Amino acid sequence: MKISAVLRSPYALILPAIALCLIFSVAPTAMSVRDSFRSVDYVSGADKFIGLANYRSIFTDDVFLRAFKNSVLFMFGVTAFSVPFGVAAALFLDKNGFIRNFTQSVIFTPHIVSFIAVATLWMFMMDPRYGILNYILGLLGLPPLRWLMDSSTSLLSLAIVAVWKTTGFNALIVIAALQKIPAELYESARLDRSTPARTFFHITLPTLSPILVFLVTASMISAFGTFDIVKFMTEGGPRNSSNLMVYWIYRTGFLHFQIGRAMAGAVILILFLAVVSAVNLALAGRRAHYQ
Amino acid sequence: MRKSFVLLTAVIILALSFLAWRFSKSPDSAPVVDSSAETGRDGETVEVLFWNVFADDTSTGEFLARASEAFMKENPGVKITVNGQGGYDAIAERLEAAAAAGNLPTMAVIEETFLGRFHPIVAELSRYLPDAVIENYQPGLLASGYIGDGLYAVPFNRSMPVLFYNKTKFEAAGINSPPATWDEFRETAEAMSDRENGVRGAALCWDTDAWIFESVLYSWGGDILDETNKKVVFNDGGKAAETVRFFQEMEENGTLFSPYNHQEDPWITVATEVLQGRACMMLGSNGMYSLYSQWMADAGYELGIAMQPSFGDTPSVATGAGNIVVFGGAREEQKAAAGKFLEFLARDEYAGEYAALTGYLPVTKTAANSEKLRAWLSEKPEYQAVIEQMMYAHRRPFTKNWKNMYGVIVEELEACLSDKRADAAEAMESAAAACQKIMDENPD
Repeated sequence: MKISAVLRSPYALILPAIALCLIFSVAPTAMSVRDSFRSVDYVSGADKFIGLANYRSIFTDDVFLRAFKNSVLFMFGVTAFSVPFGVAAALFLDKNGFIRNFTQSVIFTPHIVSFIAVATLWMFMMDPRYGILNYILGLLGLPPLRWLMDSSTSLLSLAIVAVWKTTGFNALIVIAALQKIPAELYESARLDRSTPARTFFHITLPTLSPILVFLVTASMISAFGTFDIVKFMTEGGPRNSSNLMVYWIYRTGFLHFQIGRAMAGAVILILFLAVVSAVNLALAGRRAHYQ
Repeated sequence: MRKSFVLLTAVIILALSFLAWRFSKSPDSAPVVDSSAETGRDGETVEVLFWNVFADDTSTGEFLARASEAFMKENPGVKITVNGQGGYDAIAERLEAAAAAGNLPTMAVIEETFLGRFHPIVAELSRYLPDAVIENYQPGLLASGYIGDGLYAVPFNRSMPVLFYNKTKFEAAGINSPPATWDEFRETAEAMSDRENGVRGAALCWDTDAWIFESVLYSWGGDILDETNKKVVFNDGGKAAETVRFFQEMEENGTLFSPYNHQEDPWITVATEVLQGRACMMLGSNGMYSLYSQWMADAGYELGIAMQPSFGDTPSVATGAGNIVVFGGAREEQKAAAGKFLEFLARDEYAGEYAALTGYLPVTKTAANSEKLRAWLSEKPEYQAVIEQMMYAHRRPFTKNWKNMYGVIVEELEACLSDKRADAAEAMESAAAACQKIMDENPD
């Protein structure tokens, strides 16, 4: 076959995308895996193979283990709230009308606001002395909290911010999915005198299941990879109580100059997320109803 | 068709592999300097890129802009570009990235302890500085620039922890001299506290790199590392815990303000408390003297400055802040130009002006005695104590791991002044063990 024919073929057309993917995704991942088995120092230029030493080191590092545990908790916590809240908000907003359209826009706004602005806003609200959250707790007769500054509430505080920011996005996706459910299904349910709850559990939820699988998987991956609010709001503190995996990787690699250990952490992160995604898809495969 | 596709893909992968190999660093390659600054051949202008810690609109940034302008007038063949990088940690982080990318500046200000990290890539300076200039630097400030017999960094914006106090309030309370020992510090804090009105006698911030803790520990007779710089000794005999407990007790009995119960920046919080008269003294960097004096004057108070209190008769204080390094990968003419600029900055008129402008220490002996600084000191006689304090400078930790280690230490220190459940002995023991682990796993 002539080379000109090859260049016009579908394979040739996707080659630029493949090349970009190789350069910006596959190659860095491969280099991370490579560096995770090496002792790398950008300043001295030292670079030698050390086998599994980086992995052994991080699995005996209390800070890494704490960050991993925090990330798992954070991932489940954020997903457990942001997806159901998104579905609930979508069910409420899935109608036309000025108020509901306006509310749709409002609820989606946190998703498009930069995380730095979101973090600043919440830091004001969570300020132990002047924040509105403690003011509200006071009105309810509850003791004030130290939110980001207390090791027992810092992770929870970050989770609240993450849920607030992602719920709107989830709601929007679910609204789009709801609008694709054929009206006849609801009409049949009405004729059969199905209760709203029965209609939700037997028509709405099964029909939404593919999109919910996507949302749960995406939300878990996104929550596990959270970096910006940790960096800006707590820097992992106090005492690593809000340290998450990606922040640990950043701090280890760029602040503590231990590239090999940071890359070992990154490989663990990739493997963990691959397992989470595979489990999600496998479990969902049995229950999701694809049309 | 499929064969051609496989062939094309293989070609791309091979090309990528080649590029990755070509641009990856070989084990012994030294990081190179920003190529945009590589000039100087055939009489062209030599460009020197200088990374400074402070932003361009700060007093240091403006001073360097003026000084580099004057230098370039004297040396028309050299172009100095000064870029503010936003802090010691930020500059260290960027230098790390620049070293990896082969894009280093010609010279940079680094926190003095970061020489432990960057020494493999910095130039030995005695080749570029005349002996007379080197000998004129204050020995206490130059010490941290030496590795063995080689000089790798020279002092620029250097500081030491000092005691700032509200002179107006002290005088009103009938206290005529600032505390010289830690016992006096505690007694004075007690005397100055007015619990009913929320006034504390003292305020304390450990600093983001545990610098204040380090200095207080030295004054307690402790050290961070042993002489070999391999063994963590800061809590040997419970010394660090004892130091921390001292301040914890003051915080518990309401005579010490801790910024770690507040969400804002600890330094700003502490300074604000002192400035607004809600705390009466604090430890801080003498580099903030001019700024704090102005703030206090605006608030209707006079700021006093004194040596950091000591535990016994012999004070011992950490030095700190910025040294200048020149990167070894720079072209020879760039390094020579950087050396000339360092010599220029060490002139009395500039070193003296900079000290008077900011409150940072005069880095040369002759600048300390210069007319300019003497005139300034005649207006601020108390500052003389800070200059005298230089003779009590204690050596700093020298390890590439210090940044990692002080992060661990600060976490525990902050908890000790914010969390009532934190036990100082346990916290310092845990910090010392974690620091030793860091050093053992990443030997220098």
